[in-house]
Formats: sequence, C-alpha cells, structure tokens
Amino acid sequence: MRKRGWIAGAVLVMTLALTACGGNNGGDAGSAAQENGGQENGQENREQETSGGEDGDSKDAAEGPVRIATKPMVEQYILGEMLSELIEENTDYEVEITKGIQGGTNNIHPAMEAGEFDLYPEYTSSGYTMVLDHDPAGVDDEEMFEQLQQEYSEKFGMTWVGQYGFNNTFAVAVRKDIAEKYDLKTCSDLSTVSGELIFGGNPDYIEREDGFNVLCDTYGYDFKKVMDIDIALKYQAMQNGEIDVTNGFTTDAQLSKDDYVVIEDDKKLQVNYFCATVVREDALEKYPGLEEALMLMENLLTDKEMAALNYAVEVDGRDEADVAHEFLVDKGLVD
Amino acid sequence: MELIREIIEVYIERADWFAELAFQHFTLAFTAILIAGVSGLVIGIVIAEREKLASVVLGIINVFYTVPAISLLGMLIPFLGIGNNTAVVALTIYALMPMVRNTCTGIRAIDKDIIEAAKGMGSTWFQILYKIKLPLAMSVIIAGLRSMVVMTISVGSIAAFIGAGGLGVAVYRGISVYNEALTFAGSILIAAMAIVCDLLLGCLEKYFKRKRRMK
Repeated sequence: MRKRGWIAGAVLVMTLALTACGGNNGGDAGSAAQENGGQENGQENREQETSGGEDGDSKDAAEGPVRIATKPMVEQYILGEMLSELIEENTDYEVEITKGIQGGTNNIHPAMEAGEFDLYPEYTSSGYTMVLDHDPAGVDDEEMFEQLQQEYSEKFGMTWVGQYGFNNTFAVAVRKDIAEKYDLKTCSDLSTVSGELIFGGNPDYIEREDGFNVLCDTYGYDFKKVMDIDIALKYQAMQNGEIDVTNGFTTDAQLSKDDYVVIEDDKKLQVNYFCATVVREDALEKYPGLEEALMLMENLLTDKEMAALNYAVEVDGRDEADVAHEFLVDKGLVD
Repeated sequence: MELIREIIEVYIERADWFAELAFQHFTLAFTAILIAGVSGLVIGIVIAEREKLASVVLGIINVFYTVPAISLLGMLIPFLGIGNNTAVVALTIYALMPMVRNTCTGIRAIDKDIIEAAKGMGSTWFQILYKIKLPLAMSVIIAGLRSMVVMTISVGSIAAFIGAGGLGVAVYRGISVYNEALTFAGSILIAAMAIVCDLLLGCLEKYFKRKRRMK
C-alpha cells in the first residue's frame, strides 16, 4: 500500500513537471514568467535599451531561451555552438540549440516563419533560390546580400546579419586515383568519362532544382549509376571505392585531404554561398544586444579555417562545442 | 485532394524511376526474406528440441531485434561498408526474430504423444520433422513469415540511407527537399508491396490449413 502511494506521488510530480514544460514551450508569458523567477527579470531589465515599458520588458525577458536551429551537417553544429557561446558570453540570455533539422532550409525556414526558431546559419544563394525563388546566376555578392536582407524583412519579418566570411560553395570531387587515371582537372574533363563512373550524392542535392540535374545538363554528364547516399557517409563510400564522383563543398573536412581532387567548375555553374545568420526581427527586438553578439561573427572564418574546424570534429572526432570554444578563444572573442 | 493529384502526377512523370526503385526494393527485401526465412527455419527447428540453447539463441536474436534499424546500419558500416550488402545483412538480422520464434513455438506446441507415436512406429528424425513437425507447425510458421515479410519490406526503406536504393530513396528525397508528394508516393508503394505480399502469403496459409483439414 505504502509503495503504491510512493509511485502515485512520483507520477504526480512528473505530470506537474511535464505540464510546466509544456507551458513554457507554448510561449505562454504567464507560466513562463513563473518558471524563470525574478532574478532573470532583473538581469534582463539592465540589458534593455529600447524604450518599452518596464512591465513589457520583464514579460519579454521571461519568454525563454534564444532558439537556434542548424542544418544536419557538422559545419552548422560548430556554427551553432559559436553563435550560442557568443550570445551567452555577451548577453544574459539562455540559448537552446536544435541541431540537425533534416532537409535543412526546406524545413527550417517554415519553422522560422512559424516562430519555432529565432535564428539559424544560412548560406546566401540557398536563401536566394530556395526561399526567395530568384535566379542567383550572375548576381553580385553584395547586391544579393542586400536583396536578401530587404526581401526577408518584407516577406517574413526576418533579416540577415554578420557574414562569417567563408564561402561554402558546391564542388565536384573525384577520388584521386580516378582523377589521375583520366587526368581530370576541370568539370569539362569529366564529361567524356562520366559513363564509366558512379556518382554518389546526398538526396537533396540530387533532387533539388539547382543541383544534380543542372550539373549534368551543363557538362553533359551521363553517369553509369547514380546513388543516393547520406551526406555523412559519402566520403566513406568514396574511400571504399563504392562511388567515384560526388558533390562536395569547399569547406568539407575531407576535401582538405589528399585522397580527393576537387575539379574546377570551368563553366562557372556554381554560385557563391556565403554564410550568415538569418534571424527573426522580432527576436532582435525581444532580445536587445542579440544583434551585437551576432555581428561578432562577421568575417571571422575563411574557407580554410572552416574546413579545418570541420576536420577536427568529423575526422578527429572532437566535440563541436570544444572546437568552437577553442576557435573563439584563439580569436580573442571569449576567455 | 491537391496532394492526391500531385502524387498521381509524380507517378506519371517518373514512372520509370519508381519502377526501378520498386524493383531494387523488392530485390533487397526478397533477398533478406529468403536468407532469414531459410536460416530462421533451420535455427528454429534446431533450438526447438534444445531448451537451454533456445533461451541463449532467442536472447541474442532478441537483442538484435530491439536495436533501432538506423543504428544497426550505422554499426554494420565499419564492417561491411556501404551499399546493398549492409542493407541485406541488416534486414536479415531483423527478419530472423519472428521466423525463429514462430518456428520454435510452432514445433513445441505439437502434442508430444504424436511425436512419441511416430517414434514408436520407427520414423527417422527427418521423417518426423518432414511428415509431422513441419506440417503441424506450418500455420504458426507462416504467421511468423507473414509478419516478417511485411516488416522487412517496410524497414527496407532505410536502405536508401546507405546508398542501397529502393523506394526509401523517394521517401528520403521527399523529406530532404520538403516534397510531400514524393514522400507519399514512395510510402504508398512500399505499403502496397507489403500488403500484396501479405495477401499472397495469406492465401498460402489458407491452403495449408485446408490441406491439413482434408487429411
């Protein structure tokens, strides 16, 4: 009998805890304020720079953590950790990272619109084509960024801040022995031998409009076989000889190794993908000081630095939070 | 309604592609079903007579069965690489459980007196197995086979994750680019394939039941 009472008590406690969590997630200001307590509010009020009323401020401050989303790739996990650390270091807000949203932009953007996330690292041409539905070919980088800022603001109440500096653009990578055998230097060189090679790519690249089909059309590729393979397994498949050619990115950790050769996009098919933070404008208002923290990322990383960080996590198996932290320490942004 | 129209359009537009994926899917699943069906039957027969061995073997197979499909693939990759082999092995490991358990249970449920009587009449081990045990356990074994086949065909969709193709490719691509029609189109074909196979085996099950009754 006594034991049963104990279990009932435990169940009750758990139920209460769950209910409390539910209230917080739902963004209900009342219950969330109770959760966070008064201490938070005091801190937040000091941070306030806008001229909103005191009541409004404390209510906003209690709305819970800054929510960061990332795409399902190591680079984004590292960037997520950097953003998180810079926000936590320079403001008093808590941060919640949701790592690895499958489908990347296609699923994160709708979630951003729905207000489920406040910010995420995005690449200029991805937003330009997949979200704004524009043709990025021949558009000046600066012009594109300004247009992104303007149209995101008008259409979605979001904006782009602080370009990180690196350009993670598409690259076609070939296994070294294949590249040497056929003397492949450019994408055009590949055209004549594509019928003998197996292409393996991640499903979204093969399916998306600006991806594989355009590459094949431009260079006249007709591969012996096309395999859908998860992005994290591609290079392993390449090393095992199960695929010969893959779509890669300039900051891919593995591409810094000698096992693969990136062939030149001699027809200039690929456009630039500079990385920056997409953030909801209401989040910038709700969390004063957030924008300044995000701007610390500006011109922080080169392609090479990003690839090296990716390598540290992907190949050396180090923790992405540690890698991000060490890099920020090196750059003198955190202690 | 809009979605249904889109799904039909996708089917028409990419009929060849879907046919190819369905063929890959069927080949993968069927290979695994064949391997698991035969080896599961043999294991089941062997352990049915040996109490101690049975608990060990069932324990091991049970552990594999509880590992999530996607992590099983992840664990196999370092040993088998990427592609069809890994997918077939993973699917086979999954499919073993229902096969072994049902064979074992079916044989054990047979009245001991029948087997004793057969022995008394001088039947060999093989005669007992072939003429008595298997026919009597057949409906339970086929029930296991049915659930195994349905499961293998649906779990087969994860093969796409490691480059082994199959209808999972359509599902996975659909998820990747937020194309619901593509995801649905792939899923519907997987479900249809599972249902058709289940119905066919259902007929087989009925046939065996009728055959038993007529005897």
